[in-house]
Amino acid sequence: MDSSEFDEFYTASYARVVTQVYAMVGNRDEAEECVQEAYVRAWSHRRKLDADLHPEAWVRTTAYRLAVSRWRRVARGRRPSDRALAAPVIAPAPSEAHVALIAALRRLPEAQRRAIVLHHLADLPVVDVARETGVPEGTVKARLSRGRAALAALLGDAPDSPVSPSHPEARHA
Amino acid sequence: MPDQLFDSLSDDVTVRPLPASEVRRRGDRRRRTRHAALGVAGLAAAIAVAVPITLGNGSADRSVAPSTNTPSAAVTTIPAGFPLTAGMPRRDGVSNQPLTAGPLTSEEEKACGQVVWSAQRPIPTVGGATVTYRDGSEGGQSRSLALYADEEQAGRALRAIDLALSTCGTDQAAGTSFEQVTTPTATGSAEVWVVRWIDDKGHPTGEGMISSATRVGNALLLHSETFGSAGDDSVVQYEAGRIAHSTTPVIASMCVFSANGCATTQDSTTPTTPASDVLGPTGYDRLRIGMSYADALATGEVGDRSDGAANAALAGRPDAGLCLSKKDGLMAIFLGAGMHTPEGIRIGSSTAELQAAYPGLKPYGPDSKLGRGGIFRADAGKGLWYEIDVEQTKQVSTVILRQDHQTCFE
Repeated sequence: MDSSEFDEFYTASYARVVTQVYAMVGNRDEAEECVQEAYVRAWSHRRKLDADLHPEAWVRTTAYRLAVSRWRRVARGRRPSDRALAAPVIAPAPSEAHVALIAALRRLPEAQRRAIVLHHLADLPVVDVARETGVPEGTVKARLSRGRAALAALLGDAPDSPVSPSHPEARHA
Repeated sequence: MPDQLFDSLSDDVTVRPLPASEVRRRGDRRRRTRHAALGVAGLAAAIAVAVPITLGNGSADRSVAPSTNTPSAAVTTIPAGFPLTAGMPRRDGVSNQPLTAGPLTSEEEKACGQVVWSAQRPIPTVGGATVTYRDGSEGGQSRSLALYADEEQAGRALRAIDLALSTCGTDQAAGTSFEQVTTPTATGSAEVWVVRWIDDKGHPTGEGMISSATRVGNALLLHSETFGSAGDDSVVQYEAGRIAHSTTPVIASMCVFSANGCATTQDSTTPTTPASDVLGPTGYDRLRIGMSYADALATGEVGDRSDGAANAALAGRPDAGLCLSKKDGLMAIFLGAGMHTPEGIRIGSSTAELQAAYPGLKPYGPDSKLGRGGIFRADAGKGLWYEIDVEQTKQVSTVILRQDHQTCFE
């Protein structure tokens, strides 16, 4: 990948990946910082990022893991949780519907949330979600099924759908 | 579930991307940092540098220097007598039976909570063997020789390991801390990574695992060992050196899997020691900045591709990268570990030594000040100059002898 190919890849995929990681981690600024760092790493590993290794998936996975690492640091440092969830300072406020979507996603178990985002937002087929998350396809299908049901209930468009027992408060979102 | 909400989410998210050129500049700086002389990297490099001339432990009974024999098809079975267990204990610590190798089945290597290599993914092996030693407690060693359909497949398997490792955070996570060292070698590439277990209060438990992956031809050798006193960096370096020593006879014998095969005697033309330790003022030994690609190759001093911000390396010095292209010739040379400029500057020199050596030193990078680090320029004469990275610790981390025009980094 030479500089012009990288620039094209970066320009074409950046906003898309930020959105996907934002939906996974629930914090736009945190997501963008991690995605930016992931692209820096991608350039520093550019010779190994051949087409077979799915560079966009690599960037997305790296950014997600960086974000997860940050959560763990936050937990260890006993930072107030509201700092980690701080609203964006500069970006304009997203629509109410999208705020609700992100809030609903945050209430899903992490594995379900990641599967939902990869399948419904990144438009990956189940087989690619399985590869990216390192689990069998059957597990992905189960996570998608449960995640969709919970999300529908959280967003209020299917009030009778069952909600994950681990999130009983979800019906009131 | 309202799919249109997902479809329109991207339009509602404002992003503030850095310019692509700035992303590349930061990435290049990261690559250069990886070039800095890391202790474990030096040890890993020693694995390969020693390969053409060293056979340890008497475990292999033939000399195996690379040769220029006619290339042959990929070898996908392990030859009889291959010293896979060389350097390992002779008997298992639990059963007291002699160590025996079994076929590769469900073997895998893990780091930071993920599988970084397995016999099936991402590149399926076509053969191989594995052997495990248990020390009687919870520790032990494992060693796998994975064979792939060809060199390209084996190279991809090693690159996939590097990529997987590079997604790991450097912080402590999931009860472990993690460090990665990537080292290009004369025979292929080696990876060394260290995992240290952390207790629930965030302190090292004193236990860890050190792993290495080395490719020669279509074969990949993976070796992992548990070790104690893992909180001590000097212990980690010692263990890395011990793995390098114990696997040397195996790696030497892996020449049977390379396209060139093995020679029965040592090739006297193979450089075994670097020609010089001095970089500059116009080049290195017979290499000259500005010389053509063909002339550079003709010196015999161009070695395997480096992993850093360079596309080749000095023969025998895999950490000393070269910026070399067919179109532009030799444009830059990185200072490797153990090397120095004619004025005595080396990796780790202080800012005081740097100023004394180059009174005309000028800031080159943005916001560069000697007191807080940055990138500096020192003239070498004849239109050439040294590009020097100084860390916040006020120590030199990178030195590049270069001309103005180069295409390898920003």
